[in-house]
Amino acid sequence: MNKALKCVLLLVAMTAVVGCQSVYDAKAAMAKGGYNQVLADTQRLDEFPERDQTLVLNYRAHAKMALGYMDSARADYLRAWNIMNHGKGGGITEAQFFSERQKWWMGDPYERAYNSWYLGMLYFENGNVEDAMASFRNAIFVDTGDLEKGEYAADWLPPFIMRMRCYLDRGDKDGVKMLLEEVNRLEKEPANFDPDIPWLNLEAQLEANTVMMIELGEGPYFTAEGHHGSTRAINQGEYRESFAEVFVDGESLGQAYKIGDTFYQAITRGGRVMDDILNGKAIAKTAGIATGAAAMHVGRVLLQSGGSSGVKIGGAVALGVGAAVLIASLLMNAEADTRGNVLLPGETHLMLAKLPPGEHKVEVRYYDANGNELRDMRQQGIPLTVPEKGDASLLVRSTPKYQVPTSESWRTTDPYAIQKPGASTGGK
Amino acid sequence: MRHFLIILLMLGFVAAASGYGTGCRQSTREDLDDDEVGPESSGPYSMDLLEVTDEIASQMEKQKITERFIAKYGEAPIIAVIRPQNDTRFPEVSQIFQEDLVVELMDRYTRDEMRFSQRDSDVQDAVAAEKEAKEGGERTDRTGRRTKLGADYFLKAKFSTLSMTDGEYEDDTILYTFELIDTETDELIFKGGHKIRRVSEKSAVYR
Repeated sequence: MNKALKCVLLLVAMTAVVGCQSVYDAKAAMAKGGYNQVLADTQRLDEFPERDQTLVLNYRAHAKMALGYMDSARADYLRAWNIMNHGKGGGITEAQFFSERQKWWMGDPYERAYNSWYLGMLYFENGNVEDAMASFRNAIFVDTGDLEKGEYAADWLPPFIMRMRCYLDRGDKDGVKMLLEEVNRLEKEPANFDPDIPWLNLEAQLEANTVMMIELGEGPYFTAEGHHGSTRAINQGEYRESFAEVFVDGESLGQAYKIGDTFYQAITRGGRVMDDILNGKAIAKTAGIATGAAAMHVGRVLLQSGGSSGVKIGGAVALGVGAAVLIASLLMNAEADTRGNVLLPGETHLMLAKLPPGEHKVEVRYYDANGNELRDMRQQGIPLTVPEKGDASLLVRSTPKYQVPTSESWRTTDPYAIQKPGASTGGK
Repeated sequence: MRHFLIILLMLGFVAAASGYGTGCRQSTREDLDDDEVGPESSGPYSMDLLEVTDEIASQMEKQKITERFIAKYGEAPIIAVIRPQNDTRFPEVSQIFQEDLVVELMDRYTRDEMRFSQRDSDVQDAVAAEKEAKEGGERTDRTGRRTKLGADYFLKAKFSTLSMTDGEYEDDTILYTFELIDTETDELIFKGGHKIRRVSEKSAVYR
């Protein structure tokens, strides 16, 4: 009996281990070889479990974008967008009993908003303003809860600002006014965005022809804490940079303003439905282990009591039922899903400017909270082309830095394709 | 026992050879108007594309726009498709609807009844280069100089949406409209519209 029980327990342990299979560690990959490492690791999507593929696809798109392969990044973001917005998902039933990680990763509201936001930025920089508009609108939509129940409303400014730029591209000032009214009604919470942003008025929006989005620091990450790890804790990413200053052709345009804080977004989207399920699982798991063990103990005592056959049958039944309950409880996994997009930045800052059409060189300097420049983060010689009509846009990051492509062939290169003679190797 | 094992191995080989478990997947061809297959979404389906195109083309036919133009000017109106406006939350939508309508209109009308000016920037560049080559004598010039078509009407697609969610359901009503605008007077000659509402269920447990 003891041998059989050991085998069962071993089986349980193995199943539990499989259930807790770790997901792709993008942070470790970044530490090992930066975005190129992520790009290399994620080439074969089918090597990852189906449930993680949407997250991996977002990582791959992010790496491609960071290396300047804009068209290829847009294709991946769109593919992930389709799954996150049209997909049925899966693994829900398994997640009710086994690990929550069995369900398909679809992202929290802020992660879904980021997916749409990056997709929109890539459309925008490619001159496809209408699809950018739709993406920015969706970024706001997926970041809005049930307003009738008083749930969260979208208050992450980046997609609002970019929608304004899209409206202006159409020549629609009324659309800009409508969005400005909406934005200016938001609570001026410094943890979310800088209340002194000088561009939240029509004149400033009409005046500008250059949008620079500057990302700072690391976004939030999740850990499983509490009873059986059933509580998903949201932790703030650690980073030194606090603000950025922008220079164009050697002249300072001034400080960029914070328009989005990823950690703030993550912690203000209310509780999850899954949290209650995990709490229930944790309680059931503890109770099940105790009940199963107790029943097995009673069964063993009855079997060894030397009583009548009826008593022995009762003991065997108690032992069997106890073992079943114990195994089920051990198999039950109450641990919270800690999968999350760890490549997202901590903050988004904005610089809106009017620049003469033509070629420019941009420099971005980053500072800590005390105003000391972080020299290792300084970025120089970023190319920027301001068109005669419409906006120039730029997306940069303090660290790990994004590369801005300097040629059309670099922008359109598929990094996984065999390099053709003369094609740019971009960020490689 | 040995025979059994051999049969089992053969069965395994047949299964492997037939592609089972090798990761080979085949796509299935589905009818365009079947919205029961594929992912469940409140966004536009191919069935919506068919419906909208047919509806707008019929509305345009009913207005007898081309007949009236020919009666007045003695020749077919020239239409140029201009940048669509996508106010839905779904990217990559406006282009296909617009293209489909042009295909449908070109199918329903002959060139004597309705003409189109192709204004895509890549086409414009290619046409300009071709004209230059003809003028420079690099290429043959069959008919002498001809000017590019000036449009009588602009065709503009405008899609807007009313989108709602309670976290469990996503509810999108998309209004698909197409406008014909007189390029001389900015008069709105025609505006056809069609509304489609779709609701999809999203499992709240995904969060």
